[in-house]
Amino acid sequence: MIFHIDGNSFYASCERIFRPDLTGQPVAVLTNNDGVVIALNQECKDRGFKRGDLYFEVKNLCEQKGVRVFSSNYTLYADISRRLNLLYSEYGEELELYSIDESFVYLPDWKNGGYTEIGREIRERAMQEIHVPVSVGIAPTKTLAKLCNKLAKKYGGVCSWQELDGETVLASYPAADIWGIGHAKAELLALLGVHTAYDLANFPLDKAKKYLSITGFRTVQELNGIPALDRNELTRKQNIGTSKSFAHGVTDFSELETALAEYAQLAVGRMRAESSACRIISVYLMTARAFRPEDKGKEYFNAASAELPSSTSYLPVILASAKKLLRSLYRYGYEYRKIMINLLALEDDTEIQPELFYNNTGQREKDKAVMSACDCINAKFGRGIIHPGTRNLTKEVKADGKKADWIMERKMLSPEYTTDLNDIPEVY
Amino acid sequence: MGTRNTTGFPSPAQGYEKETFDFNKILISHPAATFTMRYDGRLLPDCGLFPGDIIIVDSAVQPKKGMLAVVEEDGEFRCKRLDESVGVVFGIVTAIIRTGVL
Repeated sequence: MIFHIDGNSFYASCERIFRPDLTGQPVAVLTNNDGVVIALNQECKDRGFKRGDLYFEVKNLCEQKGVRVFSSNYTLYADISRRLNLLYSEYGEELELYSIDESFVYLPDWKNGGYTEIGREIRERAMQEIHVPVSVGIAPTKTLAKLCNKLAKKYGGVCSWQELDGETVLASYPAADIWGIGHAKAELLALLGVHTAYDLANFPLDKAKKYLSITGFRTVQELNGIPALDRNELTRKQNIGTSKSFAHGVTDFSELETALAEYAQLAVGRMRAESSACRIISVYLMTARAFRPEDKGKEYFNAASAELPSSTSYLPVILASAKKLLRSLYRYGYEYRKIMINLLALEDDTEIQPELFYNNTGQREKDKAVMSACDCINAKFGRGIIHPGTRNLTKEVKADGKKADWIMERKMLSPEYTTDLNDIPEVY
Repeated sequence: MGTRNTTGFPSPAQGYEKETFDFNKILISHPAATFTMRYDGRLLPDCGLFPGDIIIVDSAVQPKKGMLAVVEEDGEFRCKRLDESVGVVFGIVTAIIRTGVL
């Protein structure tokens, strides 16, 4: 059974955690460089604002209506995301991080699952223990789990496909809103008389293959309860992750480092194939789950994230940062079973904001040229035959100890409440 | 000294290497739900709290009467012993760290 769990207005919810004064207040979060409203809570939506509003256009209105505006604090969001994934991992045999605020959790198929109760428990614990609201969609396929998640609001935050009247739900759900059906496909489907998800589920498979390509074909299968999307297969990538489960427990740091390097290279390769660049890197390190209480001491599950000075698709920068993260996670004496690297906050590699003083465009072009050459050689002679050496470019702290935040325009940045001892919340 | 064996004899410490104990493990029972905060209120000797103390706050502990907790009150975080009257409990104080004690 697949759980799709999604943080509600995630960025705005994160900003609220350590600000009790913001309870009931409208909160909006802006994109990089404070350009566009990227997330907003219900209170803010109720005042007429929406995602995608240009900040310079609504700035005055925000002031008038008392909206609390924040720059995006990826460090904070990545840490809260890490905590949520830690919580989810207690429930599922496997976890797939789809984006910073969305995960799929795979549970074994039980006859009397009690899945809805598990969903409610996850939701309650996320609120109680991590202080952010999540909604949960539960279904036998990823596409249906996503759909259930969208309906969850109506069902108190948790919606299970098994408890719905499938036909009725699909008949009242627009085909265009199904995961993987984009704008273009929706228009084509409308011409073919497919308007609702019900129409789409009953669309003949041969036609689906012809008109919708392989992904659309899989979507149709998924709507009929047949899992057709692989784990980790994403139609619209918001992050790129690779993970490695070891056949035997690994205790040695250098062995972990080698595995990490291999998987970082794989992830970067995939990211580069999509002409994307990432800004955040997360590394997860875990042992096997302990099911007996006496094994609890052998269990370790941790993750750490780093924000790069600017978005990059350059392997050495990403690898250096990932290794640093691994070092901070590694504890001696555990038998590790799995390592994951996740590249987040993806941007189009062609549109990256150049960094002001540090990585000038000329250097970026050189980096790109080096990587392209490596890609070509690896394509010709086999993956991983060469890779550029590591150099440490993650300049996280300036000489005076201040974070080098001036490289991005982020005037309304909240503190790093959970990751910087100078920024921890104050209690009176 | 002792870390390199050129003679081929294994170090007598081999197999006993251990890293120093991990404070995270001692101080944090629920990593996903534990937050670090700084106490900046007045001296509360009954609670063992001094201004400037770092407090470890666990939101996965079930609040019970008499526990020291961080609660949300009047739009700020406050540290209190729990009784019936307190508002929203953020978490329970499970450890207090005082650095710079010279």
